[in-house]
Amino acid sequence: MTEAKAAIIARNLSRSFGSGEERTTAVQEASLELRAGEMSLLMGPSGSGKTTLLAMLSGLLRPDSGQVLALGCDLWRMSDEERERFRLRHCGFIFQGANLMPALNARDHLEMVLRWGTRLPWTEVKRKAADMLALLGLAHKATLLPEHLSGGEKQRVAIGRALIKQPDLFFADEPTSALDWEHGKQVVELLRDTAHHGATVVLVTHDYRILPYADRIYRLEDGRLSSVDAMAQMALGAS
Amino acid sequence: MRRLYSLKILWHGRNRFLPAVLAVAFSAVLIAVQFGVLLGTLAVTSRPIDHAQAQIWVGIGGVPSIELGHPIPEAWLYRVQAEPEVEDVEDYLYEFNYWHKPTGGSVHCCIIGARLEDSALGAVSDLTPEMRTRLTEPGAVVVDETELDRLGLHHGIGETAEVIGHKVRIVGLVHGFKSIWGPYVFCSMQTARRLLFQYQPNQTQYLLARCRHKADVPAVIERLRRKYPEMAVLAHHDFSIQTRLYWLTRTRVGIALGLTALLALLVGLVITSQTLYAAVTASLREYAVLRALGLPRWRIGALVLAQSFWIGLAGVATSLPMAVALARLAGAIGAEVLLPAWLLAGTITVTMTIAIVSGLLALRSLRLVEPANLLR
Ligand SMILES: Nc1ncnc2c1ncn2[C@@H]1O[C@H](COP(=O)(O)OP(=O)(O)OP(=O)(O)O)[C@@H](O)[C@H]1O
Ligand SMILES: [Mg+2]
Repeated sequence: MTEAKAAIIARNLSRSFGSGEERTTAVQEASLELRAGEMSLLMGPSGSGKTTLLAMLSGLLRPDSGQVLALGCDLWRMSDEERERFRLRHCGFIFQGANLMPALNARDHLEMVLRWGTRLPWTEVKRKAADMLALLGLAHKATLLPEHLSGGEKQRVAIGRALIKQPDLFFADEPTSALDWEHGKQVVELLRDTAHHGATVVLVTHDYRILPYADRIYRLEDGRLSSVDAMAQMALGAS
Repeated sequence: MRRLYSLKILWHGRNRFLPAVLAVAFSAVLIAVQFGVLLGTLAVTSRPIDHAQAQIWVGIGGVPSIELGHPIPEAWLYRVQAEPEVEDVEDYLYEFNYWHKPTGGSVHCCIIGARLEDSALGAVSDLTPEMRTRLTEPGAVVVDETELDRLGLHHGIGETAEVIGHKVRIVGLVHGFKSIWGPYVFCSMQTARRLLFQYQPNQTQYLLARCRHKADVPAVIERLRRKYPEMAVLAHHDFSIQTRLYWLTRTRVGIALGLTALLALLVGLVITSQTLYAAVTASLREYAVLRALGLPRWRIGALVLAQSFWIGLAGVATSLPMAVALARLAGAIGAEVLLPAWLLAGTITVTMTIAIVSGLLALRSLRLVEPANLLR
């Protein structure tokens, strides 16, 4: 494991939705530090604010108050364009669904990110996409459309699409919840390997089977965050 | 192809996009054929000019169109002849009168009297030497084959009718001179003068001229115009276009056709833009992931525009053979549809523009692409 240092520092993040009677506070005064080379889990009951927190950490949802320092940059002090460029350069995402374009095959999805997001020459784009497909174990499925891929394969394409630009920060919101454990495990292992190659991985999940793979675990309860030691959490989950 | 995501999207969603392609094709066919019909119709009005050998047409000052001429003094002939470059000048009559059908009733017809020698300037090239010989007999006329019905005739050659009390006899038939205003009746100058009694012997309706060298025509026209402002002096090509334009603006068919074309374009525009809009909104989550990954919004916009471009191209590609086939079909049943290259090029340009504009309109769907929506 690489020398741990804080890649993301969040201070007193709060966010609420709605107004008046219907106002709900999704995340309240959350502070945390995420380190490069680690995979951190964000766990908690449904509605506890996990997705909201992840979105604020990753530059998708503006907090009501608080600060996010990502790779030394104050994420929410940037202009929209700057934040977009930051996401392009540094952030990878996967979501519950793979959200692949039905008309494009696995290879297209990977190539598209490099073609549209970088200035790499076409030959380089092709090579990188082929390498990534091989890494994902999808070399022989490169030209299949999403409708011909299994759920796990689709999710792996989605991961590949996020990984191919070699992001420093990787955000995943319940990427395994639509998969059986056999496929879910593959996805988690991929994410852990990504972390151990130096990226900062944040994974929102309900699934306690992921615990053994985590380096750090955070728990959210009613929008309040608490850090838990991985071993202790595992014991908790087992009990 | 591997890099043309827009084409892959279109092909994959071909059922969804087919209506848009058809709408574009429909507008293109409608525009091409409508204006082709208009051009074909207008061409008939100027055909006596287009098929004659005269290089210069002289008429009453300000004459807007061939059939709106007035009698002019035959003596103007000497004015034209006096120009050293001019080789030949001759008289020409073009006037409407009543044709009394042998079957009863009458119809407006358009009598064209011209000299008939091989080198004559007014006779249309469709008149064969044989017809010209027969036309020298008094009362001999030639009409268009497709007008026989309107003229109350059965098989044409040998049949007789009357024009204001003068007997006329059909001695030949031409093709492709179907007229919109009244059947053309071709005859000799002598016959025409009898059928058009309102003309004095010292009057003509037009004077037609030819120069020894074609290159001198503009200079001669210029000089005659300057010397004699009361004369209209026109190059045959200009007179032809002027005649067609007169009918285009005067009859308002042009305006009606323009409006229908506009309507067709609007239909194409609405269907295409709605199809693209719906396609984007159906893929909001897919596009939102790309936005989350930081891929620029304009890339997605360009993808939508590329789709509109291909839809336009597919529409145009389907429409052109259809338009040409329709024109042939119309030609086979006697309605002339002209599809000159510039009309087809214009149709392509307008249709492609409409397709691209549809794409631009569909771009408003991109504001719905919000990465934060993925989190719900
Ligand atoms: N856009 C929104 N508008 C209104 N309320 C929202 C919105 N997003 C989240 N909330 C509310 O904020 C709270 C936290 O939601 P969040 O999606 O962060 O929970 P979660 O922990 O991800 O839940 P789950 O495990 O079910 O995905 C919930 O009460 C939710 O209803
Ligand atoms: Mg959630």
